[in-house]
Amino acid sequence: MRRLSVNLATVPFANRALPLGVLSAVGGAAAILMVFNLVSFVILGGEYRTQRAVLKHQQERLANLEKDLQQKRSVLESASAATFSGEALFVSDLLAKKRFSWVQFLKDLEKVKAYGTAFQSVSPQMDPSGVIRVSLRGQANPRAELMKLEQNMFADPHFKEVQLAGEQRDGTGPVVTFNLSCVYLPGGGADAP
Amino acid sequence: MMKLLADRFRPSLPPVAVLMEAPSVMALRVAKPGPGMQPLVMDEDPMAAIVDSAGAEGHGTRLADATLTRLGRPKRLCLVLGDPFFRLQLLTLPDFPRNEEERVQVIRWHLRKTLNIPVESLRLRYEVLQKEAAGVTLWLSACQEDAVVALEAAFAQQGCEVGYVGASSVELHNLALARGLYPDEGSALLLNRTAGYLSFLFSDGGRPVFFRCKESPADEDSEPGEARLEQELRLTLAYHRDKLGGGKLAKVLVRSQAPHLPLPLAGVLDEDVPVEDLAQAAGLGAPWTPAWLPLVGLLEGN
Repeated sequence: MRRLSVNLATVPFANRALPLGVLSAVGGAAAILMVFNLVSFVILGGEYRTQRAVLKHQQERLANLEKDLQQKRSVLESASAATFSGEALFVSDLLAKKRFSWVQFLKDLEKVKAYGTAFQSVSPQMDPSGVIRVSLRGQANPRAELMKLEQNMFADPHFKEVQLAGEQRDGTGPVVTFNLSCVYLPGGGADAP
Repeated sequence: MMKLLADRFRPSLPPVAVLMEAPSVMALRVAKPGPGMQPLVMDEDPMAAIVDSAGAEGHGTRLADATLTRLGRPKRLCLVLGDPFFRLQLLTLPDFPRNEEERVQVIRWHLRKTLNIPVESLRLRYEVLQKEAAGVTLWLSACQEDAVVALEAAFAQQGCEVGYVGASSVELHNLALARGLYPDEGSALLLNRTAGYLSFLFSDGGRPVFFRCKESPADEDSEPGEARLEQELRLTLAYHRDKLGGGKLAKVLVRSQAPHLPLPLAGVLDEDVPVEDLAQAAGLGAPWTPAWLPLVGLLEGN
């Protein structure tokens, strides 16, 4: 049987253990957090301040770069820059049309090459009008292979104005050293000047 | 839930308490409340002497001032008053509402039937002793609102907060409970004999079942005191036995405020009913005389 607890006071005494316990726990936790914060501030504070300075410097640099970019953009957007830009595009387009691709040239040359011929030098040169003139020097064994090369080039639309500049037999053997010139048309004559 | 919490976390009482039980005012200050507590201040003064020194006016203030001075001016204080200050009774209600306001209304309605004073002027506190299908049994304490407010105000004027006001017999009952003095089976009677009143508290297994307080008449010569007490004892025992269906008493615990106060039990109780002095049964020796027992019961159980 539990004790009788009848209290007729106007404001009865309350139990202080529970609220004091809760307050102590909260206060203790707050004190521990405060100490932790202080330790963190002391230990990590220097590094934090350094990082803040670096960040501030980078932000300033970024702002300067953005400002510079804005200035250059405004210059580019001006009237003279627009004209210059148009000319540059035109030249770029022109160059693209007159471009020379070694890979494509060698592929085309391989198609017309006869089995018994071997090239010692290949030198393509573009004249001021954009025409690509190619000088070929090589050896043919036997000479009929040189003729075959010439015929193949005549038949291929990538080569034009094929001329045998000279040929010379080496001693008494069947090998013939030759010089040959032609005009190379990258597009197979479709965009020939 | 709240009740469980309240039981688990009882109020933190200060180590200072005053027992106002005519004809004395007893002030006690202990080092630390609880079992085995050591008294620091034990002061007993005749109530009349304190009151007379102040004249007709300011009785309460003078009493509070004198008492607090002896106790070292505590800021918080417990008060234990004689049973006649209160109306203590057990009340069985067949229907006990859930709402607190309705409960108070029901209790007041029952009190109106038994008291011839305006129950609206009473301060009520109750504690549920038993809940059964047949009803709820309450321990009800009531006192005059004006009286307790005046008492608290007198101490408050001296800078002391009174946060506990309890009855003498209730503290004795708690002391007996704490010391395991009640028999496990059978009824027990706690008699609280003072110069001003005689209280009966019947209990079964430690649970109060009936309480009665009989004040002594102011004029002691009007009737032979001992004979009147014997008659009261007989009537109360008969009421407990016949009206409440109480069984044979297994034990009687007696607290007598002073050794000279008569308590004629020999001719009233059966011969084989053990009668024990509460102080002795509780194992309380010097300096705890029976007069201090209510304060011991209060502070020890805290």
